[in-house]
Amino acid sequence: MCKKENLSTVLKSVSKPGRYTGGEFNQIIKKKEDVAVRFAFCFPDTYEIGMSNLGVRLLYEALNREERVWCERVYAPWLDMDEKMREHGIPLTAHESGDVLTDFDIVAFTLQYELCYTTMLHMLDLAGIPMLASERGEDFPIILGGGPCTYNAEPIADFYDIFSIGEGEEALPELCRLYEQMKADGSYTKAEFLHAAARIPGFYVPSLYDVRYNEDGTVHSYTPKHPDVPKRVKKRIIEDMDKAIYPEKLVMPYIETVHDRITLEVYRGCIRGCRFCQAGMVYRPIREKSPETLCRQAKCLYENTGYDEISLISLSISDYSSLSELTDGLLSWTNDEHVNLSLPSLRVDSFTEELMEKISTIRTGGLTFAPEAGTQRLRDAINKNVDEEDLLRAVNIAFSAGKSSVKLYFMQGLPTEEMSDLDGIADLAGKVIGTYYKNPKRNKARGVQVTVSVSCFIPKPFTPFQWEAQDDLETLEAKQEYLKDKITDRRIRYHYHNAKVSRLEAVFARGDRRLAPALMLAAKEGVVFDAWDECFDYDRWMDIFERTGIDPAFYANRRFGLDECLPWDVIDCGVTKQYLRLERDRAYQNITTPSCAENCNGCGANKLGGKNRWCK
Amino acid sequence: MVQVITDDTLLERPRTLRLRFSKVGSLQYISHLDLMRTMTRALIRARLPLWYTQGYNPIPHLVFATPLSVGTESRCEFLDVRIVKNVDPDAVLAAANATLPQELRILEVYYPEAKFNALVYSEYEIKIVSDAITDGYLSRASELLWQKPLTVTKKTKAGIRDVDISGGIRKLELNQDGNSLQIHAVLAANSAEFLNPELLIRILKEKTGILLGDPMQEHYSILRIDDYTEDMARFR
Repeated sequence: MCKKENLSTVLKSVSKPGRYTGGEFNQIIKKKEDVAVRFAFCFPDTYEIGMSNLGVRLLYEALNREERVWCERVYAPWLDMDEKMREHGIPLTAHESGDVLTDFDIVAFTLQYELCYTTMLHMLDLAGIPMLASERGEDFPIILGGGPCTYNAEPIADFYDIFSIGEGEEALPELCRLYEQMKADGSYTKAEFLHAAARIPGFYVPSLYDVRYNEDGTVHSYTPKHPDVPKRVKKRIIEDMDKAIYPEKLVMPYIETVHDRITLEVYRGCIRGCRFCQAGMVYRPIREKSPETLCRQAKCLYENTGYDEISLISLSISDYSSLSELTDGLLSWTNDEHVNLSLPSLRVDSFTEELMEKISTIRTGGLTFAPEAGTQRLRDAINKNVDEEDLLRAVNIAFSAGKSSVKLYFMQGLPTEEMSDLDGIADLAGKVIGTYYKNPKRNKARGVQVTVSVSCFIPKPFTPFQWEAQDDLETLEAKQEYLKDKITDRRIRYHYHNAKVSRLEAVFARGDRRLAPALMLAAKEGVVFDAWDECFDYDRWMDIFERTGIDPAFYANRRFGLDECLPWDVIDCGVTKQYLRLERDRAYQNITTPSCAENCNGCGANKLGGKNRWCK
Repeated sequence: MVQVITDDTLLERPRTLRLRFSKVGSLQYISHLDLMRTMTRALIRARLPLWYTQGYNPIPHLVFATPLSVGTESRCEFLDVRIVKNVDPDAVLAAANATLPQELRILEVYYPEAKFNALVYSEYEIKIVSDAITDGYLSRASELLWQKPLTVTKKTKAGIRDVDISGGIRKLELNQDGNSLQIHAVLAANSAEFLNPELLIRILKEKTGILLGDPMQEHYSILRIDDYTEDMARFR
């Protein structure tokens, strides 16, 4: 263990040393002798990104409420610090205690996006923990994974002992209790513990399944090794959001983080069912918090943190059934206290003048809408039930209030897309500009600026488009160039994401266990921070795939068979495969599906129970 | 929660409240702006009746007496904050400390008389541990730091210049104990002339080759212990 004094010279030589020091206000310190389970919660990216993550803040609270559990935080050191750590043999440690990860009972990673996988493996390496689960003996901590990527954790399954599927606020403390109990009564061995954990709802133990592949490379089957291990692991949900644990105070970072504010989770799930969207499906059934609970939580968090901004987080904030009540309740004190209210994820069809006037960050900041597709035909196919009329009305409200810039999000490479749909993006942007100049109330002192931001479609598990192929790289890049040539109006700024990044994401999003050697080789060769522009190296990945005998096109660019066994079929997210198949067929017929608020469409998530708003 | 406001009536004109505080340990690694944000939030948590600027994006008004370099600890920092109601300084001290990490302690709270420009000097204790600090190092270091002029290359607004910093040294005492050098210095610390104690270390590093070895064994610390006016009275 390094003394703080020994680290001071190193800390003074790296950028943003505040990332590594710990000691923040509201951090939770417990006595090691008083706890039975030491839990290291690792975020596989830098401190600034990890501290902003709502999931970490939530689970840190949920776990630390357990008297016998001490949950600490771990973040990935940036490249300069990483180099010094390797040079001087400084191991990766947790923020609160400064202890090395091998001192912990459970080391957990929250997996928010596929491109963090190499960083995650890198952290295991820095901690002196073997990457492969099969190489870790009894003396190493249990390595646990959670977060959205666990809906298809197969590419990383070989590195983990156990996954927490779904919402962890109740599941993780249950796991810790099992651990403590087995250690106390002497029945604990790693294998016994994992087998027992597999019997707790929501826990997936990858080593307890036999995976077989067909000759054509597709999955043949996932077979549990024991009769008491579930064929499919059903995700956990919090039944009553009002009664669920939510932090009353937050660890306050010293340095600036990406989202340095109060994030207030308003509700889970989404009623819309856009066919490309994984989050909208896997967070069903829709469960809301009451406005009373939210107002209470917001006030409490404000008083305990001193933050000057509250962000209302959800997949689609304007669909929250008590939005007026909530905003009125908050506005009764936020303006006086100089606290800004932020409402990201606003839908075009529910954007009103009232909202515009009330919400400070809308008044002062930029406006963003997400039509996602340029033509009504394609918007119908992807079930983004938004009319051109709605969009123009929404931007008009903004323009009338004096705003002169707006950002529009689109996707390219969507299933059923034709070039005319791409033309539609340019046309729509043009119509927004036309709307501006036709608006007599506009800010005549300024010209209009429309930013069009187009990302690449990635087929994601548990969406109606999970079987679809992503366009190959040449096509993706050609489409980007095509749109660039089409958009000639200087008042339109066109942004597009690196298609190579999207391709790599697609490989891992729909990958299976045979990707593990590639990940391991990448990590061993120092590939890290793939989500960062300055570190991402596509050619290096293609080389790694070649050397490990993997064809990335098999995962990214292949249309999966509709009757194929999918690697993620071992997980049950609530929504049924039949429903996804039905939605996919509707997409190809350009038929829309109404929202849950209008009609229950029988997606299947209601069988998970919970106090939900719309499910029958 | 300690009630800090003594009288709920809004003052006709905002008043200035001064806090003297210490900033040690992990806090030495955060920037000036970070500290500003940290203090602002703590004072909001302590329910201090802060004055906010007018305009598009209102923010509270906090001013620090001197710049705070990353890597320097301090037992004597000053922060002025503008408030709109009368407060009890002792209550503010208690409330603020209750909501601050241990390494950031408010030592005194009061309504100030002197302005920050009356703060002219700062006193530092510097300690350097290095394998290159061998027998007889003390006299070499003393000779070096006591020379006039004492030139150092600085990046100023006018470009990269050689600057003589000897005029900013009010007092300088050196001591050696094995491979450790202690420097006790009183240096200029006002807006017209601010002598960063890091410069003394830099001179020693460049001219005598210390702190170039294993960073796990060699280290230095800078602690600001007090502040003074022109006539060397304690600044308050």
